[in-house]
Amino acid sequence: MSQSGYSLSAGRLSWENLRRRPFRTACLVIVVFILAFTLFGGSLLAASLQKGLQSMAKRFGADLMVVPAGYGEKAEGVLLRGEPSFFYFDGALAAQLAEMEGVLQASPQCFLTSLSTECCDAPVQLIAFDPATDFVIQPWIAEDRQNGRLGGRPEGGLGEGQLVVGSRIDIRSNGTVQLYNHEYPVAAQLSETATGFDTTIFMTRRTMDLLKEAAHREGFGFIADGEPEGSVSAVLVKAGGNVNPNSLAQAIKRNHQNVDVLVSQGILAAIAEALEGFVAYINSFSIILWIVAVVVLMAVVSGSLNERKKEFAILRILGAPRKKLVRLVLTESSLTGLAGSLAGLGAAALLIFPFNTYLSLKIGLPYIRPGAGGLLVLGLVSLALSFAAGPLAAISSAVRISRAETYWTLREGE
Amino acid sequence: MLLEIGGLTKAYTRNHRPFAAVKEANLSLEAGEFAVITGRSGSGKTTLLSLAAGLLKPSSGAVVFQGQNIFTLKDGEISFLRNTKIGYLPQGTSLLPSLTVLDNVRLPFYLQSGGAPGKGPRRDGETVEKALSLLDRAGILPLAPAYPQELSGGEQRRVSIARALFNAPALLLADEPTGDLDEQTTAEIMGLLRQIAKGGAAILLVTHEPGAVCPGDRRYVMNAGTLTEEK
Repeated sequence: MSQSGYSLSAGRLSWENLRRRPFRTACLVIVVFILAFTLFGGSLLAASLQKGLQSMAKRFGADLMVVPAGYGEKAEGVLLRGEPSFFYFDGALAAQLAEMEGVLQASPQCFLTSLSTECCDAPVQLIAFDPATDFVIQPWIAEDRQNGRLGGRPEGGLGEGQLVVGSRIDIRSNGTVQLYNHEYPVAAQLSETATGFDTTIFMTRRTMDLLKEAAHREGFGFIADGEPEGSVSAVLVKAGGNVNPNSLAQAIKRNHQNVDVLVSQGILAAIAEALEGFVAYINSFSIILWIVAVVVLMAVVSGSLNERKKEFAILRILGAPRKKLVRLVLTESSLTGLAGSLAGLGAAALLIFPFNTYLSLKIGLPYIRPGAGGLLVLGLVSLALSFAAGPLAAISSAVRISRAETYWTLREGE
Repeated sequence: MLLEIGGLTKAYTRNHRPFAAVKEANLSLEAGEFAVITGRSGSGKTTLLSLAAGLLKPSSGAVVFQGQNIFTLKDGEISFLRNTKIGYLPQGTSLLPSLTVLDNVRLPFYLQSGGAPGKGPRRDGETVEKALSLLDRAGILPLAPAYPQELSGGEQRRVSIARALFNAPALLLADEPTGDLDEQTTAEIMGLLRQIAKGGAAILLVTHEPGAVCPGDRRYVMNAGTLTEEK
């Protein structure tokens, strides 16, 4: 007779036992699966939102954004959600603000929107900046270049006709973006920010003028064409070291009645508050679920071990020390814990990774998925916590069953 | 002397009253001896056997096996003793339902970490060979791949005996191994136990069967916790 000579190790004995009781095993795995799914999914969501907020805070750069009166909400839409918009006022304001007390730097920007179906699925925001005074866009380019995210791109500032595009702008295979029937070379693509900047195309004021001239030749017209020479859409302001941005905003409003002033701290604070509530909800839910899962597992394991008391008594008769019984029970719960944890993590990843953008839009908060290292840490922590629930729930029952008097167990039910 | 039980008492409370299941029991066994304990149900036979196997702690007295009082041993040591030197056949079915007959028989080898040292098989393949030879000796070799649920009571008992012999114990404690079996199967099981005794192991058998006693056996009667040797 041919027989395999496999080892009857604790793992094998536990596996055989789990295999012969598929319903109970499935119940245990499902509980851990739900736990792992929620822990990993929740923590991934929370981490992505926190990273999004950090990125937004870093990218805002300016303390204040001064826009024409009545356009504050639209400007916020440009910044946060990438909703294309344009509005104009007198460009001389930039110079006036730069001279104002408490203002460290002031730089004008000019907005246009692209045509739809040219470079992207929908119209995108075009922003022209003044390279001489800009303190927001050029530092991003420099930082991304320093971090190696703009590999192969030319050093130095933006050339005439060149563009810098956000992370979600589609670049053609020849390294250009088409705008108003003309192709423009892309000098750099910025890293993800989870803000409207991801769907924005940046250029110098000179490039925007060239772009408009080329568009005119193609027969396109712009609302800005009716605006006086030198009109701008917004002036970004950096407050001096000891100056409170809110006080400075009030001072600007007092001096210039025809403007709205957005305070980046205020925008960030509102988002941070919303995020804090969301993360607190996720964390509380995860903790409660973990406790519930441990209690449910304890009940299932305890019930199951009670049914199997005689089996453990037999193992004692055959010479298994108490430690061996504990190990068998813990191995069983570890196997179900591992299976449930891995399946839960996999399912969460399958559900969340492909729907990043959709989630980001649904939540309405900045959302950036952590990098590989961050994902690994989140995965390992979720795996450890969900995996630990099984053995933790089983340990008291395991010790109880190992301490049971074999004699009395055997005589039960006689 | 292989086994020496002296002044063994097990008392506990039953229905709020003190109760002695075993009173001052004395018994001794040499290697290869066959001893039979008879007595009515509830007379304390199983309790005595459990005490002898170290599965239950006595209120007083000692069980000396190969010169050592087993109740002075730690759990790991007494478990090792049960695994390697004392085979125990409990009443009724005692096979693990999740394992095949073959795996049930070779299971004792794996219950001590690294396998039972000193004798018997050393590798997984050898445990299979040894288990198969024991099943052959018990007359149930074709049942090796079956699960316990597929076996009759007599077949399960034979598997239990094969398993108890896996580590070649010096002492086999058998608690009514033929209790629920027909006459022919009872005779076969008793024949198997006698063969084992001839092989050098001491057998301490608890039974209701008057026919289980043969000339030359040591005979004991248990009555209300008191063990008496019949000459």
